[in-house]
Amino acid sequence: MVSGEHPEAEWLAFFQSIERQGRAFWREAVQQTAAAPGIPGGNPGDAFSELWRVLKNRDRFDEEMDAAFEKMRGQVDAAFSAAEPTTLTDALAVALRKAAETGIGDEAQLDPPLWLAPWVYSISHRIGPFHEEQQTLNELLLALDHHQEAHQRCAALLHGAAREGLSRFQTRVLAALGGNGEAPDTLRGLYEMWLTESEAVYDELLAGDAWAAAFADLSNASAQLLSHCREHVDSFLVMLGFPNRRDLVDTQRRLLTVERQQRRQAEESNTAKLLDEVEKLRREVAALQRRSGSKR
Amino acid sequence: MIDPTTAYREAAEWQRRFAQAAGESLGITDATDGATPREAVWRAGGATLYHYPPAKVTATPVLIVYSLVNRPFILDLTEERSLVRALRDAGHPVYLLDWGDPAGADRFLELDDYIGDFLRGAARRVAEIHGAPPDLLGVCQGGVFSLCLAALEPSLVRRLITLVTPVDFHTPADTLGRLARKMDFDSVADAFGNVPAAWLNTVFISLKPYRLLSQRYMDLPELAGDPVALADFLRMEHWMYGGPDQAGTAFAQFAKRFYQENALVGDGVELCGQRVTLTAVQAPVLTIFALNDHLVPPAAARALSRHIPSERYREHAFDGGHLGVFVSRRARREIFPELTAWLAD
Repeated sequence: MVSGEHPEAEWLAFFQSIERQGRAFWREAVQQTAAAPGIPGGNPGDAFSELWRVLKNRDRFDEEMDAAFEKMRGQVDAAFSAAEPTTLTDALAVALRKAAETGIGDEAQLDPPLWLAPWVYSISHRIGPFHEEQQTLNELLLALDHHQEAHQRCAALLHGAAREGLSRFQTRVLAALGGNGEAPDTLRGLYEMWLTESEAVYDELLAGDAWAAAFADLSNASAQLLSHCREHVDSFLVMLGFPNRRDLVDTQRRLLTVERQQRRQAEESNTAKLLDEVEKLRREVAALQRRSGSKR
Repeated sequence: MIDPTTAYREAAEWQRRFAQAAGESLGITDATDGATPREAVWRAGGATLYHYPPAKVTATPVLIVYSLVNRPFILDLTEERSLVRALRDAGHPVYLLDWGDPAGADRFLELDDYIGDFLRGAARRVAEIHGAPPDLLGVCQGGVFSLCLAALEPSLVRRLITLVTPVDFHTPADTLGRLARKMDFDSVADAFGNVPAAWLNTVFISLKPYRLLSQRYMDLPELAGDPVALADFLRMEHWMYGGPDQAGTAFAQFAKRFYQENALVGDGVELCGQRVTLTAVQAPVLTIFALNDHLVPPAAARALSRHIPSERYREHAFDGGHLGVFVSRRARREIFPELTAWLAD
């Protein structure tokens, strides 16, 4: 075939020959911009290149378009699924629950007999030599539960917004292809279209009370979890006489009080000096005025 | 629609320029304390008062009070983009109060320490040096602190400029205010001690994640081959994510009294054993706000007009965003001359 004889076939051949590089580019680009390397279900860059591939294939346009957007949705779902607090907090929860159920200070480290279990579990944080530690542990478990619930509520709202952003992006792409609205003629244009639609949905989320409540709840739950973790660890450090946070904070408080007192005393002393100086100057001026008056 | 061949070329070019910009950035330092020479003239706790002397003093001293969040070098980013330099070149002896980084024990610093001791102390030092009270220029949270000082001790403030400063924290468009309303700031301060800058950054990023985490870096290749623009970009990154931690107690007090109780426009704020209200401010005030400010909505800043008599109050609307007021080219043309003219009035 002479070059240029069948431009479409040549063009397709060219396209096929560089498709792999194109896909590799998007993977690379998205990873470099730290979008989400290693997200299960593939990389968001793949989804954009897939969409792009569909946009040029007019023969099976509708079904391929749906499939391409479905793939993007799948990746959004996978990204949010990966962001769930599974591994670390779950492991922590399992370990803590086991410790709580076993009971700290139980020398035998054995489960109580069945008839005794409810009594032990319900009152172990109120009686016995280690009931305060048990209480701390129970509070930590509750804080952990609360944190996981709060995290899931936030993630669900964000997930919903991301999916809604994709839907509006799809609607806008379809409208543009149908002649309603400006069609992007560059990849950057396509990206801007996604960004604009997604951000608009996110702004709506931000403006609502549901997000404010979920965000505050997660923030409060995180702070509570951190506090309870520290308190739990600190109680053992105190018991063992090791350096601990309680003592450190106490020292910091006393130090700052001393620094504040010194600073304010110095300022008062400086002010007193200035007032003395002003008074001295006033006396000098008065003396000068008297002398000047007596000369006249 | 997209032409595939052009699109591949576009993608390849984007990657080439991204790599180029990344490579060029390796040779650029982002560390800066500002572009204008200065000297430390006073210290209290971790705070330092810097002086930027003009070639010849022809105007009143100006004390700049920046926010506790982020670092003040944004006001002196480069020689061309410097509010500090603009004031200095207009003959003002310029002073900047840098709050510094809170050390461990500073978690117990209170607003009384920051406003009643550090800020008041700095204003007194400037007044002693020049024999007259300074003009105060407060930026964002620093503007709130300046208003508080102007109300606490009116004789220490000649004129007051508030730049993108919230006064009413409960206006409808105030997303940050709405997010803050249900947060337990005492728990946050208790959990962290000093509240990490990274925690605060997360909150700020959550207001504009698509722009800050995606678009900003998609634009980076456009800076390839432009070392000046690339250096500015890196300094801005350094500024955005290299802020100081927040002294926990003062942070919680500020969030509760201002963001939650909205006390500045209500019954007043408890400070230094007094109830501070805006009606006590005696100095003439110029308020500059940004029309597209996502952190301090115009209504939040303009609320000041309801508390200062009109003969002593003036305002200027800037068509831009929060940072644009002090770093944009238009600010240089529009805001900086306005400031110097008003101070000379």
